[in-house]
Amino acid sequence: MILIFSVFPTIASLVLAFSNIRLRAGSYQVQFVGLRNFRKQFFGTEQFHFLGTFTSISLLGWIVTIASAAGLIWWLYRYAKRGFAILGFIGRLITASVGFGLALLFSATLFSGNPFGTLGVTIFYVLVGCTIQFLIGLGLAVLCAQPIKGRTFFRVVFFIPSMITPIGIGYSFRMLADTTKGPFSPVWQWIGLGDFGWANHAWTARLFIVIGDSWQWIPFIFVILLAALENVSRDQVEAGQVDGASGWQLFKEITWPQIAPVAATVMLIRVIEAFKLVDLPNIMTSGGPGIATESMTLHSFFAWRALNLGDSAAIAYLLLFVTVVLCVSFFNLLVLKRLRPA
Amino acid sequence: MVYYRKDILDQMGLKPPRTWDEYHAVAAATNGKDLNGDGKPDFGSCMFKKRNAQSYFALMSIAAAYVQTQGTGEGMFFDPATMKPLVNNEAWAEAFKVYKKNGEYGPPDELNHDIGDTRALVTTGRCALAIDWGDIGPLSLDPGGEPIKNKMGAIVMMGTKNVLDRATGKLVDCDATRCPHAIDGINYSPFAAFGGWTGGINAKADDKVKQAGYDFLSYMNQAAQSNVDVTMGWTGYNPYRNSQLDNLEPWIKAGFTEESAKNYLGAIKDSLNNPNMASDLKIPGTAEYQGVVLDRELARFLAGEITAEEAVANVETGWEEITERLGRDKQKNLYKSSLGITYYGLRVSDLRYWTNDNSSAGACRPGRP
Repeated sequence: MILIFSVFPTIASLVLAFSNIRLRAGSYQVQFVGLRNFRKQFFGTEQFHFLGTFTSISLLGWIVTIASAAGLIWWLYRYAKRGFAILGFIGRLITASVGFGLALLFSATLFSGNPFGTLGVTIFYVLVGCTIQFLIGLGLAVLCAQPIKGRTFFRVVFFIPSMITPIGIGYSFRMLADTTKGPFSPVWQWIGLGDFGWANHAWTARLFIVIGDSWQWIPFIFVILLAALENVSRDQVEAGQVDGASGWQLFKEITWPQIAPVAATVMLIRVIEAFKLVDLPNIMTSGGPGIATESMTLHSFFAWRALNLGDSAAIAYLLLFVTVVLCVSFFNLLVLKRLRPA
Repeated sequence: MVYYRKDILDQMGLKPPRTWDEYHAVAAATNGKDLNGDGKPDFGSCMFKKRNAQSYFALMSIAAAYVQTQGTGEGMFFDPATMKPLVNNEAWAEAFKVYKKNGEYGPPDELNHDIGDTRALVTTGRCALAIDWGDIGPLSLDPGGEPIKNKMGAIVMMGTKNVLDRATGKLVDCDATRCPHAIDGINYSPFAAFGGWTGGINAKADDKVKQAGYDFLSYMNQAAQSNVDVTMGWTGYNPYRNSQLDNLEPWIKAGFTEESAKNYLGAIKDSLNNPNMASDLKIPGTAEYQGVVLDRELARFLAGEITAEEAVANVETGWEEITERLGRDKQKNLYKSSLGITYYGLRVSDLRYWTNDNSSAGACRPGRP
């Protein structure tokens, strides 16, 4: 049963990723096409869509590329010098290659004034969205951990957004962010933005998606970090207070080390989830303006909906690859290193 | 169809537009005026432009008059002889540009408006001009449509004086041979966007279910039920039976004046009866040709990522890729059949496919090898 439910879909979609599949009345036809679906994303007609538009790399782009290459090589060299394990080296080599690939991608697009594709957009949602969510979530958790009046009320209120279905949030935000006839349209006019449509510009549109996503996910981070904060030993905090430590020192030296494992875990879950963002861009902008807010999942979904199952599966596997490499790297290289005593 | 605010145009002494130049002139004249008496400036033209919604139907409606001149059987998407896309040319590029220019007289966030957003603006009286399916008429009779009730005029989709020369891909002026269906030198080609609604019953369902399904579809479409349904905007139903188009009584009962009813139904009839009416794409892969490739390149063009010329070139590449993947010959034959080009344009091998298919599948589905 486990095999049927977990392994079969994985294998079936892997087969799809390497095939051209055609559905027909009562049956289907699978034609093996090798790496064609992947080649199309990297080098073919979908390159602009998946990776971005490339013209030439600017000076800044070259600097970033060379700096990241040098950094990654030095990092590999240091590892090899300190103690070499073949498995660890291969793992780091994969991380470094993907890291360099992404550095090159952003150098050739973002830092050279070219639009980037769905891969870049997805990474943007992950990095910027998760950072905002972590900072605000942590801030709210710290506030609610203080002995203030009515904190149970705040805890419930802050948690409500995560109980709402993402589709509902998408439609709510679409309505709230409608500047012609939405509820905030008078405010929008009043601050002099009446002629400005956020959906017309790539970065403002991405920002609105991140705001919606943050609204939904901050509570999740908040509630778990709050639980972690409640478990921080009062004795140590009070001992610190007696010794005259400042609030920041208390947080940095006593609280943070105790909640760090939980924070790392919750961020790992959040990052994996953020890679799969699809509802909000689908509803708020449908990936527009142009392809500026289209995440990889949405890219895959659009292909799937037109029954182009091969391309859809190929994109899904590329997403899986990027997610796994980045998340495993994050956890193994950053988190475990800190947590395990060296 | 194009809808215009009759009261506003009359008041300003403007005539309903016939070409996109005239449309832009009317839109420019009315944009920024208060059209619904709430003291706030309104819009000259409202046209949904959101990606992955209905925008490509609007684009195709604009393109049709530039591309198709010789009647419905000519088609506007591919060269029926080679299945090469008929899209990388000045006519389609012009349609892209016209569509974008309409936005200059529309709401600032129109790029994120789907048809629901546009209709909300139209029915609250905020738009002087708009394009839509047949829905604006009955929507003006629904509760909530009061601001435009009996104030909207309907006309066939804008025409053009210059059309595509298929040999060169350039836009050239209309003349008697080039635009045989032109009226006053203007070529019209009302586009049957989306084709229409179809009822389907699963062939493998058991007979009782089939009968029930058939009875339901029959009930929904009989005059007694549907002639009232089409007068209600929220049903999404547009008039499609002769009795609905010819009989004014249910429309007047629903709230139209006789003049409005005649104008609204007349515009639909003019569109449907036009010998140069353009047919929507009706072949496998349509969702991908239009909903993925055309829609995406249109969105990129509207967002300013690429030029109209780049957009049509990308659409051509994308369409060729789909055609190759689905099989060029098969697609070509289906495209021809969809235009009504059957035996005359067929090769012997195509005929073989035909007979094979008909004998094996037992159904009339041409072009399936």
